[in-house]
This record gives sequence, structure tokens and C-alpha cells, in this order.
Amino acid sequence: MKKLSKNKELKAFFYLLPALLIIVTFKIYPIIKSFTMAFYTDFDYLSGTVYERGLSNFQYVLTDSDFYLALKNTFFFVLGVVPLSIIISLGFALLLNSNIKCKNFFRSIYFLPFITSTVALSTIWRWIFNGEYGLANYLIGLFGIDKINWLTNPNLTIPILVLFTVWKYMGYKIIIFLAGLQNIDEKYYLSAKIDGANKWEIFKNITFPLLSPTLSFISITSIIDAFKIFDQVFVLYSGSTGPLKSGLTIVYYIFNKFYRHWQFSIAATAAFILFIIILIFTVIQLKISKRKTNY
Amino acid sequence: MKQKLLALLLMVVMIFGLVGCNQKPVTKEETEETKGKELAEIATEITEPTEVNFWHSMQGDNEEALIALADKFMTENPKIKINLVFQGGYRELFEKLMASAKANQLPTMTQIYSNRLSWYVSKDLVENLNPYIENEAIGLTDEEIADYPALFLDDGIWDGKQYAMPFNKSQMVLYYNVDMFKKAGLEVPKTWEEWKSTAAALTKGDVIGLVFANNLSTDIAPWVKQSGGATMSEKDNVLLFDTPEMKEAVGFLNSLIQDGSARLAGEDKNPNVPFSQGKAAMCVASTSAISRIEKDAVEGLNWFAAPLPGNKTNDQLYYGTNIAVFNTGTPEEKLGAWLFSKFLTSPENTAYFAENTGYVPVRKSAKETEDYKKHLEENPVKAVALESFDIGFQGTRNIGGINALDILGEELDLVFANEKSVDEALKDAQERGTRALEEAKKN
Amino acid sequence: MMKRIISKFTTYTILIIGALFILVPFIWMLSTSLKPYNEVLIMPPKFIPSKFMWENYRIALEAAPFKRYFLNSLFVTTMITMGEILTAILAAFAFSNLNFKGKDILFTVLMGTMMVPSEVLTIPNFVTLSKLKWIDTYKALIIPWCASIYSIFLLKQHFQSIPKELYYASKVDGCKDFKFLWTMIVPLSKPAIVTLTLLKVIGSWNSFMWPLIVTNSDKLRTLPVALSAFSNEVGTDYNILMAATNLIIIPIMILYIFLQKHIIVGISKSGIKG
Repeated sequence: MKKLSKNKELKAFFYLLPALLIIVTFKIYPIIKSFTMAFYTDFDYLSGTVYERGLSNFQYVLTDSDFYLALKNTFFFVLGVVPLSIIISLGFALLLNSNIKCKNFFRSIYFLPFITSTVALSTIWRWIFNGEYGLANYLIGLFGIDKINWLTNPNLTIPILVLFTVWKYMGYKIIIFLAGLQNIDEKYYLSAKIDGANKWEIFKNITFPLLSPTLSFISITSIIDAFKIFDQVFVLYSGSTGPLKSGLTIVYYIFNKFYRHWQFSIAATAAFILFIIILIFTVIQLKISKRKTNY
Repeated sequence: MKQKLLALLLMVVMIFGLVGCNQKPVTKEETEETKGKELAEIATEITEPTEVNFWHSMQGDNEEALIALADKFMTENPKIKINLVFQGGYRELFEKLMASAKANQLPTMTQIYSNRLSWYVSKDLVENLNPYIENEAIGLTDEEIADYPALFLDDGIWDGKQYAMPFNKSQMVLYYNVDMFKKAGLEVPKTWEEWKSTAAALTKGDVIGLVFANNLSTDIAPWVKQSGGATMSEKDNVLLFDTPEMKEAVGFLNSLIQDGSARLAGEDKNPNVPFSQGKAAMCVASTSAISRIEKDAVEGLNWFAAPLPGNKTNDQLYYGTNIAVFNTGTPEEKLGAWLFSKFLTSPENTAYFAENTGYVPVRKSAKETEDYKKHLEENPVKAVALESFDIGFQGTRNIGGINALDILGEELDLVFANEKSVDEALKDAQERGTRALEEAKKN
Repeated sequence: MMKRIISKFTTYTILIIGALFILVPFIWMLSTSLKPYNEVLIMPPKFIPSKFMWENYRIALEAAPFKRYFLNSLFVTTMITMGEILTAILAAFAFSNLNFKGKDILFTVLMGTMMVPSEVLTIPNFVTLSKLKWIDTYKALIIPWCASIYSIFLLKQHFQSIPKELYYASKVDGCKDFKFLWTMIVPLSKPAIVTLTLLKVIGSWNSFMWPLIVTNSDKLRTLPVALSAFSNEVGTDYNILMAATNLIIIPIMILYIFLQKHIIVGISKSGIKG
């Protein structure tokens, strides 16, 4: 029995080896490296010599009003983008999975933003939301609404980022949902139809539960990605944190501390705190999805 | 759930383990002693084929001009091969330099801002160029040294040693719409008061009098200096944000903005954008924007540039990067890099570079060369930046200075958005900035 | 019947509105790429250029060694995608079908790596690569990206939804795990694998920062680096930038159109039932 179990571990190890080798070298090792830096309070970054260790970096970050601002902005972003993007993409995936014409045409269109470089997209978005001549203001003008300063009003920064992110990543989520929907055996639908179930019942009792592995994948990765939002702010607000720092997110904070201000240990500390926050959310989610996936 | 907690615990333990154990304590003094060792003798002759890697951020026309100069250099010096490596924008270049410094893979030479180079100087990674300059065979004569505008050389000097040579320099100037001025019968302002009334007079309909760049953190320097102050002192490494001079400067800019006769570039990104569209009568921008304005200008836009109007003094801000040689290369490589730096800053070559880019030649005698003379006749606006070398200065270079200035920039944004008073903002900027400056010493 | 028509109608309406929402910015992009420079910033904007500047595309192609960059992108993207799919299939199988000690812990730790922003990892990885003497080689461009926990996670979720009875039945038949993986699980997960391929291709096709950081010579650089040539601190040549962007999208779009029929052939239609 013991030998058998050892064999099992060995076998699994061989399957995992290629992936592990790379992930350990290029992910886990640098992560540990940078996390240890969170505890350096006086050191030479280049030579790696440490003169003093301690917790004062945590004190710095946790008393930094900018960090709390970043935390607040990020939370609002996550809260907005995660449910919205999941609902919209699932909705479109279901429509595209039904029996309609020009499926491929629509699918290709929804996929466009995802394959285009963010830099080019952000340029177009800046034109669309230009306060004076942008398309957005032209359109709302048709309904008699006054011009809105989309990009310079601090209160609109997070909503715009949410909109941009949903728009850009819709295609990505749609195809993952479509792949998941393809895995559902048609015989379930057939028998449901024979039983006379309506569309909502079919969705609730068949599609939704059978799609739950995909759904939990999407929701977990969406939350993680949303917490790590940075690129969109960086390009949409031309390398700034938006009007009055309204687009300062946690990763932006980390980025600024690391690459602009060269406060390496502060950046590492903030990254560590972000890691803990996301971890808590993910563990909760894994627990929920485990309870739901019961087959 | 238990297992997940265990996993988390495991990671935390691993991290603490790495932090805690078997690294014997080192004191700062110990390492600094070994660091201060004197430089080896320099090479003065290239006998073997030598490769010099030069990292830069020059794109488009700028890159083309640089490539042409490197080719010319290599024909003159067949034993030296210059590898020009484009490393993206400044952001990517500095990121990569940092990574390379960490991996001990620095290039032979690089293009870099002084406020970034100061850290590398403090880490003793930059080659002192004095031995090369003073060498008779390969150096510069006193006349040649005097031919460099002093402000550009000063920007590369730390503790009396020349660590960098000037490369792509430009001046912050006032662009103005000639026709709008003519129509209103106005003169180009020379003082702050004139400037203020001009901006107000030219603000009409959808045209605003004056547009500034978005981030007035480093760019605040000329107005503070003209009021007799400075943003910080390099010698004592202290911030001077909460001073009467700073208040005068910020108060002036803020009054223009609150009047509605000036604004920041905002969603236009760069102040030259609304200006070249004819939506602004004046804008404050770098002379490197000249070719961009020429390209962007709406038909019939008649524009020119002038030095910034003065207050108590007429100080003018210049900015731009230098070239520095790292001390990690072999003696021959470093010599090759020095020879190339000298070549790039020779009167005719810097004139060539200036002619083909928007930058200023870094030698006074460059404007005497035939080609550049002709070029200035055809492009009189380019001569503006040559007039103010004597009253010019460059930005501060304190380690952590960028961090402090960023905070100043944030506070100023609050002032311009009418969310904070000038006094309050500057007091906060001083306090928070000082903290940031302290923090920057820790690595 | 009436009800069906209404529901069809709503479906199409929603799809068309969604498509417009996506397309308008792209039409703008296309029109900008064909504009003469002085019309790019003109306000109010023009949708149709006064003159169609096909030349913009030529300028974009000439501004950078496009052919060299294209071949590099093609090679690097192909290698990364193949490598990553392979490692992901193997690892996902271990997580979905094998039972071994510490499985959940390992998976959680791997998930943990997704939670750290990659911005923090660039420099330590650069140091590792330079210790391995891989800087400025294809290895540095490819190998670090040949495994991703995202892909393992996605495939694991799909492998898990394949009925376990299939696996046990094959065991009884004496089928080795390895053979079972390649002859049953992989074909059955074709939609997921094709999806993953597509996502991976896009990711590495568009990656900008990494190729710039780990290479020094022009002959190793990839397409997105070319995009940075059209802007600097004082402005951007938007028309050329858009032309170059369109050129970069085209190969991916072709690949997508080619692959999308494979995404939609799944268990339900392949005739193999659990």
C-alpha cells in the first residue's frame, strides 16, 4: 500500500515537472525574493546587502494615505467590473450559442478589442470621450444631455475604467464561456425539452450547474485580474493616475514606488499586502465553488 | 480549507525563513570602505577591435540622426564598433538600466537624466570622465571646455567630477500665436504682469490665453527660480517647498488658472496640441516640440517662440538627458565610449544632431558652422533656445527628488482644482516630500 | 410561433447593438489609419478622410524592420504556445485525474502566483536570466512563458467535467494514464485547448515590455516594439500608429477565423458520450 502511494506521488510529479520547473524558477522564486524585500528596512538594492530588517515598511504602507486611496479605488473597480463583465459575457455567450445566423460574424466582432494592443485602443477611447468633441458627448447631445467631462472628472474615472475593461475583455470571456458551453452534453437539453422545461428552467437547472467549473474559473481569474488593474489606467490617462489620483490603483501604487520612486522595499510590501488580500478572496471563492460543484 | 491555510502558512514560513536565517549582519561602514577604491588607470589608445554598447531612447528622426553620427564615427575610428540599442521610451530605458545594474550587465554607455544618474553615481557605477578630459592625447582643450555652455557641463558634475556629457537638450519656452497678438495689438510679454494681462486679453470665445503642461512638479522650477528661490537644495538635501518664493510662484500660476485665462493641457496631453490647433494663444512647452508643432499646425497658423517672461530674475529652464559611461566596462570599451561622447558633442556633430532633431546644440560655436547657420536662417524659431545659455539652469538632481516633486505635483493639482489653499498645499507638500526624501535614502 | 419570432428579434437586436458598441471605435481606427496627418487631430473629427492615404501603411511597414519582427513574433509565439499547451495538459491531468499527497496545497500555492503583479517580478527574472546567460537569446523570450497557472487552471476545470466513468473504464481495460490522456481527454477537450491556444497566441503576440527588456539586438525583437516608434514625449503620429496596429491585428484575425470552428465542436457533437 505504501509503495503504491509512493508511486502515485512519483507519477504525478512527472506530469507536473515541466510546468513546475518553469513556474518555480520564473514565478515562485522571484515572488519569494521580492517578498523578503518587504522586510528590509535599510539595504543596498544592487549588491543585495542588507543592513537592517524589520517591519517598518508595513508601518509605512499601512499609514500611507495614498495606499488607502489605491485600496479604495481598486475595490470600487473590482466591485464594478467583476459582476458586470461576467453577466454581459455570459449573456452574449448564451445568445451566440443558440441557433442563430451569422454566429461566426458576431463572435469575430466581439473578439476584436481583445486582440488589439491596449495602446491603440486607449488612443481611440480618449478621442471618443474627449470632453469637447468626443463621440460620447455627441451621442448624449442627441438626447439633449449636457456635455460631460468624461476624462477630467475624478468621479468618472473608475466607471470609465470599468467600461473600458468590460469592453476589452468581453471577447475573451465569451470564448471561454463558449468552450465551457460546448462541454455540456446535448442529451441533457433534449431530455429537459421533452420534460417541457422553459428556457429559464433549463438555464437554472442545467446550463448553470454544468457550467460551474467554467464559471468558477472565470470569476476567480476575473477577481484576481481586476485587483491587478494597471495597464488600462496607465494608457488611458497617459502614464498618470488620472485626475486627482482618482485612477490610483494598488498595482499603480506598486509600480510608482518601484519603477518611478525606486522605493523597492515599499513596493514589495505593498505587493505582499495585495497578495494577502487577493488570497483571502480566492480562498472564499474556492470554498463557495467547491460547495456548488458537487458531481 | 485547512489545507489552504496550511499552504498560506507554508509560504509565510518560507518567506520569514529566508529573511531570518544565516545572513550575518553587515554594517554600512564596512561595505562603503571597500567601495571607495580608486579608479584604475585609463586606457588612451585603442589597439584591438572594441565594441561599445550605447543604450538610448531616440525614435524616428532623432534615431536616424544618431545612427548617421555613429556611422560617421565608425568610419573615422575603424577599430571601434558602436552598437546603438534602442530600449524603448525613457520609462523602459530606465527600467532596463535598473535591471541591468542589478544583474551586473550595464551597457558601456547610456543616455540618462541627471536626476536618475545621481543614484548610479552614489553607487559608484559611473566612470569619472576627468582623466579622459584632462588627457592631452584624447582630452579636451581649455578652449573646447569653455565652448560647452556651463549649465550643461554642470548638470553632469558631482563632487567636482564630470560624470556625464550633455546630449539632447532643450529649453522650456513660451510659444505664441503671432496673428492673435497682432490682431489684439499686443507685444510678447517680458514680465509676469505683462504675461498675466496678455493671457487675459487673449482669452476669447473658444480660445484660451495660455496652456501649461499637465504635471507642474519639475516644471515649476523656472517660476520659483525667477522669484529668487529653488525647489530644493542639493547641498543640504532639503526641500524648499514651503517658502515665500515658492508661494509667489504657485500663487502666480494659480491666479492665471483661477482667472480662466490659463489652463493645464488636461486631456490634450501636451500643451502644444491645443496651441497648434489654434485653440490657445500661448503655451509653455519644450523647444523639442518645434517639429511637432510644425507638423500639427492647422493651416495658416503663424507662430513663434520666446523665452519665458521673468519676475525678479530672468532665469530659463533647460532640460534633457546626458550621456554617461559606466565604470563596469573594460578600459578599452570605456575609452571608446569617451571618444564617442566627445565626438557626439563636437561643434559640427552636435550641430548636425540639432539640425535634424528639435534639440539644441550643446556647443556655443555650433551656431558658427556653415550648415547650422543656414539652418537657423531657414528656421529662425530654433535660434530662440540659443540665446539664454547664460541665464539658463537645469533641474535638481537629489536622490529621491523625483519622489518629492511628484508629491508637490499632486498638491499643486489640488490647488489648481480649487480643493486646497496654496499655503496649506505647500505645507503638506513640504511635510510629505521630506518623508519621501528620507525614505529614498534606504536603498 | 409569434413568441419565437419576438425572441429571435430581441436576440438579434442585442447582438447588433453589442456589435456596434464594439465596432464604432474600430471604424474610427480604420479611418484614422487612412487619414493624412493634419486631419487626425481636427475637431470636430471627420469619419471619412478627405483623401485616402494608403501610404500610411507603407510608412508603417518601412518604419521598422517589419519582416524581421514579424518572423520573430511568429516563431516566438508558436514556441510559447506549443510549450505552454503541452505543460498545461500534463499538469492539468495530474490535478484533475491523479490523486497524490499535497495536491490541494500545491494547487493553492500555484494559484498564489497569479496574485502577484508581474511588475514586481521583471527585475528578479532579468537577474535569473542573466545568470543563465540567456539575455538576448530566443530562450529568454520563450522559456519563461512556457508554463502558466491560468492555462493549467482552465484545462483542469475542463478535464474535471469529463465524466470520471470514462477514466475508470479505461483503467479496467488496462489503458495507461498517458495513453488515456492523449487518446481520450485531449480530443474531448478540443474546444478548451483551441481556446487556450488562441488566448496564448494573442498574449504573446502583443507582449511589448518583456521582449524589450530581455533582448538588446534588433534581430531578436518582436512586432509590438515597432509600435513604440511612432510616439515620443511631445506627440504621436496617430495615423501611422493605427496603420501599424491594423497590420499587427490581421494575422491574429485570420487565425481566429480559422480556429473558431474548432472551438465549437465539443463533446456534444463529437459522438463520444460518457
